[in-house]
Amino acid sequence: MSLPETIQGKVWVFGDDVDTDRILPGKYLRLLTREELAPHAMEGLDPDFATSVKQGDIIVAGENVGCGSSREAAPQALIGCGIAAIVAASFGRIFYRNALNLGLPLVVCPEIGGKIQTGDTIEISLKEGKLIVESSKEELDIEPLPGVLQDILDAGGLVEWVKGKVE
Amino acid sequence: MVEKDMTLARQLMARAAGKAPEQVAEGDILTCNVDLALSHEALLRAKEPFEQMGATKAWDPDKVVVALDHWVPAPDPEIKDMQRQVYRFVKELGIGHFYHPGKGIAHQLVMERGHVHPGSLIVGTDSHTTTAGAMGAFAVGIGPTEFAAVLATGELWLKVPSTVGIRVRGDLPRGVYTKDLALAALKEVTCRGAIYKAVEWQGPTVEDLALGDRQTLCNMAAEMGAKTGIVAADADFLAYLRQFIEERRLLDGLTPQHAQKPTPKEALESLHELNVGNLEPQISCPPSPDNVCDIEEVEGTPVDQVFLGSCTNGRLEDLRIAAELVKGHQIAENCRMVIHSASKLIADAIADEGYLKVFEDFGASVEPSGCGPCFGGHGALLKKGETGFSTANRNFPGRMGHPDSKVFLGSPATAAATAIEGKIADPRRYLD
Repeated sequence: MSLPETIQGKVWVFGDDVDTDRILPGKYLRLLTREELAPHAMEGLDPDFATSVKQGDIIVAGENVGCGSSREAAPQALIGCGIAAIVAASFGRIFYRNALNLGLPLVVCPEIGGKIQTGDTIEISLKEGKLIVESSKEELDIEPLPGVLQDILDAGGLVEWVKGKVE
Repeated sequence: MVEKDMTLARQLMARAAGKAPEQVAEGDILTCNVDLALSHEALLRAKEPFEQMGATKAWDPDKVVVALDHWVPAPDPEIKDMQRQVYRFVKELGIGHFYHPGKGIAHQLVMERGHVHPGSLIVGTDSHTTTAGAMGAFAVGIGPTEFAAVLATGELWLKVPSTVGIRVRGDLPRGVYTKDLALAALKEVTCRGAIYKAVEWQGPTVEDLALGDRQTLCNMAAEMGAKTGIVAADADFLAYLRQFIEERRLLDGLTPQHAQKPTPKEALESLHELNVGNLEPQISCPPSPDNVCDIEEVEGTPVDQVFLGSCTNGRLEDLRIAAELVKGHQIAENCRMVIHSASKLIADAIADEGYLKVFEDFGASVEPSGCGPCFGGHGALLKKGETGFSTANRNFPGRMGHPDSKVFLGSPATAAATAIEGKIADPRRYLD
C-alpha cells in the first residue's frame, strides 16, 4: 500500500494539547481492534465526533497533539474512524511515532493556527510539502518528515518496513 | 577527555548505537540496541504486528520484562481473558521475566528486581518508562507496534535529543517533598516545554535524593513532553545503590567506572533553575498537569476520593509519610481513600512496619499492587461532578472517570491531609 501524493478532505478543528486520554479514554483501553475503538474516538473532547466523522476527513489541531499517555489505541481509534491525516502545529512524540507506524500521515504545519474552521476542506500535497486551504486558497508550508519516518510511511507502516528486515 | 558540549543523552545513545560519543550529534537518527524492553497488558497489541513481521521468538528473552499492572485485580471476565492471553503470548515468545497481577507496577518492578542498569537503553510500552532514568538509564516510552519491532529485532531507531536541564538548589522545607518540586518544575517548563528533549535533573538538591525521589522526578518528566528524564548516576549514587543492592540482593557488577557526570551547562539547550528553600506544597489543578499552584489557592476544595499510589508516588517512603500523617485520625465522612502500593515488596514492608493497620484504622482501603484507578480503566472511579485527589501524574479531563469529574494532583503528605479533612488540606498542619 503506497501513500497518495495528495490528501484532500473535510476538516475537524481542535485546539492545543489534545491529550490521548481525551482522544481515547482509559475505560476503553481494554478494546483491541480499530473497529471496536472507532466509536469512542475523541469521546473526551466531543462525544458526537465518532458518529459524525466521515471516511477521509482530516483533523487539524494546534500544539502538542497526542500528548500524555502512549496509548496506541488513540491513533488506532482515529484510523478506525477513517481519518485520512492529522495536521498540527506540533505533536506529542509517542503519538507521532505511533500514528506514523500505523500508516496514518501526520503533517507538521506550524502556521496552521487560526487559518481554518471545522467544515472547511484542505488539500495536502505530501510531495510538494504544502497544504492548501480551499476556502481562502492560502498555501502553507509543511515540514518534511525525517528520512526514516518517510520510509516507514511509504512502506505502509512499521510492520511492512520491518518485514523485510526479519526475513 | 569530555567535550564541553557533551550531554549525558549523547553519551548513552552513542553507547547503545555502538558509536563513540564524539561521532554522535544531536538530531542524528541512530539505530540503538535495546538493553531492556518492558511492557504490560499493552503487549497484547504487539502480538499481531509481531506475527505479521514474521517473527516468532523474542530476540533476547532475558531483556524483556512484562508485568500485569493496569487492571489488578481483574475487574471482570474480559480482563481475566486479557491477562490469560498476555501470559500465553509471553510463554510463546519465551520471555523470561513475567510478573503476575499483584506483583507490582512495571516501572517499580524493573528497578526493584534488578532489570535496570545505569547507562542502559530501555524502551517500554508506557509513557512513564522514563521513571528508570532515576538509575541513570536512557529510558523511552514507545507504542506496542514499535515494541513488536523491538521484540523481533532488538533494535529501535531513535533521534538524539537535545537536553533541557533542571537545576535545583535549596533544602525542601518541612512538609514539602519531591513531588512538590516536580510539580513546581512542571509549572515552569509546561506540558510542551520539553517535547522530544531529554530532561536532566541536576543540582545539589537532586544529588542528595534517594532512588525513590529520583523516580518521581524522572516519571514526571513525561508530563513535560520529554523523550526521557534522567538523573546522572554519579559515584556517590552508585555507592548508595551498591549498599541498597546488597541489602536487597538485586543488581551486581556496578563499579566506579559506571559513574556518570551531569551534563555541563554549556551543553544544555536550556536550563531552568529552581530554589526549593521556600517552596510551598504544590497542587496540580485540572485540566492539565502543568496547571500548578501553591496549596493555599485551592485549600478547602471538597474532595470525594483520595488515591495514594502510582508509579509516581507509590513507594515505601510515600506510604510511610502518609501513614505517619493519618495515624490517630479518622477519614472524613465525605471522602474515600484507596491505596495501591507500587509493588508487593512495598506492600509487605508496609504491613511489617505496622502501617497497614494504621491505614485500615484510618478508614482507607488498601488494595493490591498495581496502577489502580490512576488511568480511569477500572475500580474506584469518579462520577460526574466528583473531585478526586491523586498522587499520580495526570489530571486531564476524564482521567479518573467521568469527563465531568476533576482530578487534583499532589504529594502523598498532601493526599493524607486531604483525606483527613475531606478537602484539599495543607499537610504541614499535621506534622509535629
